[in-house]
Amino acid sequence: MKGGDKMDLVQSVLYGFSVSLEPTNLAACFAGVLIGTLVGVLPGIGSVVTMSLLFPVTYTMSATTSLIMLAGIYYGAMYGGSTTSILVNVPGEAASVVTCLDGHQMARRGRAGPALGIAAFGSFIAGTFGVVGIMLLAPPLASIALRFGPPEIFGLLILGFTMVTFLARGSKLKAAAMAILGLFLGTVGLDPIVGTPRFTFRSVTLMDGLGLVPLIMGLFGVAEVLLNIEQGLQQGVFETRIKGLLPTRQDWKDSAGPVARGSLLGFFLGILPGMGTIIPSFISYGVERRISKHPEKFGAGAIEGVAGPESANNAATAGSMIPLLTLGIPPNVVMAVLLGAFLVHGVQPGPLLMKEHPEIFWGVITSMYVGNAMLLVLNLPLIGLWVQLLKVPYGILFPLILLFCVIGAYSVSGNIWDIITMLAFGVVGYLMKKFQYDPVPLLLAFVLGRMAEESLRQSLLLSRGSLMIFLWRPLSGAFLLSALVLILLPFVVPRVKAAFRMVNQRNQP
Amino acid sequence: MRGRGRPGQHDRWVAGFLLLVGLLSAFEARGLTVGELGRPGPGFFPFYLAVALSIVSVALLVRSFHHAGLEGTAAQGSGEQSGGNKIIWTLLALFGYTFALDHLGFLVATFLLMLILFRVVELRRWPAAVAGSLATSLLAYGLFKLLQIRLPPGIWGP
Repeated sequence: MKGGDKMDLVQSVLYGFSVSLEPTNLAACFAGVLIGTLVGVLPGIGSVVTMSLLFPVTYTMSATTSLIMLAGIYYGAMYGGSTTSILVNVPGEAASVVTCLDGHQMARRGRAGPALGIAAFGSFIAGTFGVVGIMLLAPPLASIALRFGPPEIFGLLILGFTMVTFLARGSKLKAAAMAILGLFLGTVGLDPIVGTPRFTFRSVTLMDGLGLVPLIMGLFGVAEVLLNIEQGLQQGVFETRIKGLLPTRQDWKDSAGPVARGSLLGFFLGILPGMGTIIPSFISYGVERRISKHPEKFGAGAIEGVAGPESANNAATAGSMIPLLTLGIPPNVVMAVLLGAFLVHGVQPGPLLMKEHPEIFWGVITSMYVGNAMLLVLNLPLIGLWVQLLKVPYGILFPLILLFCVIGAYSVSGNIWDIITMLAFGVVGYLMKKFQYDPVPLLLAFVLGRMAEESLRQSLLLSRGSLMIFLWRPLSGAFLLSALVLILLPFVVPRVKAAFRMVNQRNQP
Repeated sequence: MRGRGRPGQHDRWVAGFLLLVGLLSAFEARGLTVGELGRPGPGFFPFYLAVALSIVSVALLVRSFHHAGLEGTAAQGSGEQSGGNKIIWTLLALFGYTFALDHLGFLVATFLLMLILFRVVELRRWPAAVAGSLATSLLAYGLFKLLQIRLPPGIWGP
């Protein structure tokens, strides 16, 4: 294979399959989707934490194999999460919250089988659509991204931070504070340009900066366990005989539209920073209810309410790979973990990835297709097993989760202080959840902080101190303008609406 | 939230804390070279971030006075005393475990950690707690060895 640029799409895809179907990679993919489904089924363990827990295991693998496995955990968890939502009315994964609404009602009416079936088929179709979408969209995007200089990257990052803040749960001001704090935490360690130690307090550990894995495990793993210990996680499987997983002809007729719309919506929304998989599933549910001829059926067991959101969250997992693979910018926390996995293996994802490491790029993408097929085959017959797993009490699970977090944090660099960092951020994350501060902006800003600082300082050096460089360059100007529009939107929209109302009232006799 | 003050007050404390972090960091960043726009130094980025954090914290502080009581803050159902105690025990056990790992080695330290979690936090009976801790620490040891995960050596063997 001579360079990625000479390969056309078909050849690249075939090459990708030749990589993802190698026995080692196939096994890694299988392990990934199996573990993913498992943690997806179990409430209280998310895909983010699992991926960071398995991070140390992937050190000994090749970059391609470890990324195939980690990606498998992510989309596998989306499949598993829906099972718990439908059977227990508790989302196994945050992205399946909305599936509880109609999925569980279907189960209560003796239609658990078709609900689980359509969730799996919808996910498969959407996942497949997403993979094709990546194949078509990523190459042109990467070639545009190749022309980005420091000002464009800085503009794009500012737009990304604005969107993440804008889409965060709860108060936007609190989210902004967390994003700035995250950027600030990213400056701990050696200065990226001249190498001066910053905020290290003479600690050798802090010279390397705060570790990504301890930070993620603390904020998302330990914090979650602490909250669950405090509040007591309620569990209770809905006892029902699951029969006939295949949806009927009428079910398919009702679901075809929602699956198609959910796939499209999920994929394109997933590309945007801060979207994650939860928002697309909610939007899909809202759209389906609005355009349905029987909106009253929603919430009472409408299959459309399962098919749409489940497709949307799976398509979004594929969409969110695009910014990471083509720009090197993770749009959500899971992608931040994947970025960490790339960097551990000394590979920088971004516009050059396709040329320099075609085996990783195409191998991982095609493995997602293989993984989706495995999930479909794996999931339907194994549902009985997953139901049994749901009966494992949380009291047995949480000590194991904590143990894995501690050892996982330690094994990254064999440093006890990484465990302390993780525990400290566990307490911080717990308090953040209590006081309704969203940890997502903090983490994404932390991950991208170094890139933002480098691009800002390089741009200023280029322009000899003129900030106008960000406005004169058309692309960075457009990014910054979009960010400004987003910031002003919440202030402007209510006033415009009020003005319209006044005009209307005046015009009416 | 029994006896812990009203929601607005929590927001005020958190905003005040963030403001303190912002101001201290700005002060610390000035000690590095901030430089100027044409030649930004190592302190440039952190300094302006710290300033931005302080400004946002002031906005949060002001808002906490305006919105006191209007916004539901702090997760519900958190007033349970037993829940709070469990968290403190869990954290103490984990911090203790971290430092014990280097001295006692993985097996002994993990057994003790699991014993505390099962017995004190999960309120299992002694025999169940001991058996559970023994089983989980041995199984975890085997699993980590199998997966070739680096474990702290410890002075007393594994």
